[in-house]
Amino acid sequence: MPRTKLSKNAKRNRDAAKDETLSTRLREFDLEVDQFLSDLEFKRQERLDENKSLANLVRTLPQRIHDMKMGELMAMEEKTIDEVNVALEKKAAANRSMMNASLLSSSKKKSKGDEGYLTEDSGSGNMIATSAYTGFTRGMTPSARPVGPLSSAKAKSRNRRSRSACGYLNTIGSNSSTISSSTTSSRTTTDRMSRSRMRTPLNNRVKAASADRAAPVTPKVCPNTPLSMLRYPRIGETVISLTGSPIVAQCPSDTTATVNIPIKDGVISLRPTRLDAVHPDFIESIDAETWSQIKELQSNLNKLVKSVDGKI
Amino acid sequence: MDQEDMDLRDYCILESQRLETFKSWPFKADAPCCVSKMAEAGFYWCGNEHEIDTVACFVCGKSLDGWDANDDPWAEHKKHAPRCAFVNLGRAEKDLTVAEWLELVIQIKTYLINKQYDQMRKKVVKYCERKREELIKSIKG
Repeated sequence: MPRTKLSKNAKRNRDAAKDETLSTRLREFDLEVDQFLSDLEFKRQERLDENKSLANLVRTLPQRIHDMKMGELMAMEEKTIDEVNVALEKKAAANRSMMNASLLSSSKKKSKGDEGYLTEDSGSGNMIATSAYTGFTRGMTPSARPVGPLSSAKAKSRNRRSRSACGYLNTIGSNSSTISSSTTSSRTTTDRMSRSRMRTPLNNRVKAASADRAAPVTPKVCPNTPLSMLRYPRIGETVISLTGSPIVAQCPSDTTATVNIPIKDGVISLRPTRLDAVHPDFIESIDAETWSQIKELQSNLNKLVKSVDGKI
Repeated sequence: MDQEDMDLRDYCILESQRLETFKSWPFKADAPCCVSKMAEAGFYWCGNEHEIDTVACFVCGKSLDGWDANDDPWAEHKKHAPRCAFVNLGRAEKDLTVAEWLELVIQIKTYLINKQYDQMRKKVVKYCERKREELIKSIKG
């Protein structure tokens, strides 16, 4: 009994079509996943940057609060940072007057007491000079006298060092303690001294990410043909134009099939919902060139409808 | 994921908060490995009724169990997490300067953000792999 011969080729073609759908779908899926993951990374970076700016904000707190011990801070009753700051200022002033009293009573203690006094004063960074204090330490104000090895070194060498001298190289020759102090606390100062103060302002601008800094991009479709598969750019995505200049996409992606017709004062957007009547204002704003383009668009849409009709 | 879901108050950044987490602990207050010493050395309790001696560091997140009464919490912390910023400062909270403590808090926040996003990424990747398999099956089958 004869039977209908199954063409091997037909089956193979069906499989091939299936494979093609699969690979297209998978590619689309992978693209979506990649996009989602890079969005996630972007958000993480945003959060980390926020944290960094918080850290910078924290660093602007008054030095006297930074130098406090946590135990001392928690023992205080003040609730806000401002209150703590005011309280510390008062305390510092009280300490100062107490110190002056002890200094006045015994001149032998002077050098020892003075040392402690000066350190606290320069640490707090704020001077409230009482009358007794100025009377007693005339000609020896705390700011005139350097405290600690770092500041005394700075005070001595500031005038002698040439502006172009590199601070880092200078410290290499000296002992290890100077190196460590210059690399930690005064690094920024020395760095600044080694560079010229005259700077070309253009060099400071943020450089735009140019297409030639990234890997070369090959256009996958010919965008000039009347019918091509294109997608809207996603928010934050870097769009590279065909001539190579980078653009950051800011328009939201549209999920419905729409036709956007630019007119002289805006865009007519045709949506896939039922249209009752066309407002006369729209008709007025369409010029001859747009009209011919709309007609071309209509014939293209008709062709598309005709070729797809009944297949879905 | 919202900004609000990460409240630092939930992460035991203060010694007193860590002290409060210890619902139960096998050693008495006079032992070297007592609750107050544990909290001082940066540990908070994260155990349950089966594992009552599981703790973790509030900065590095290092989780430790199997404690003995004579263990020194600071020494053990140093031994098991030598890169922890808190243990490297090596001082109890009351002896840290405000600046040092604030730096720690910033570090904790960075660590938590990274941890949160790593976990989320893992979940997303796993989910997508599953969906991909399903997609292949639905088209082939």
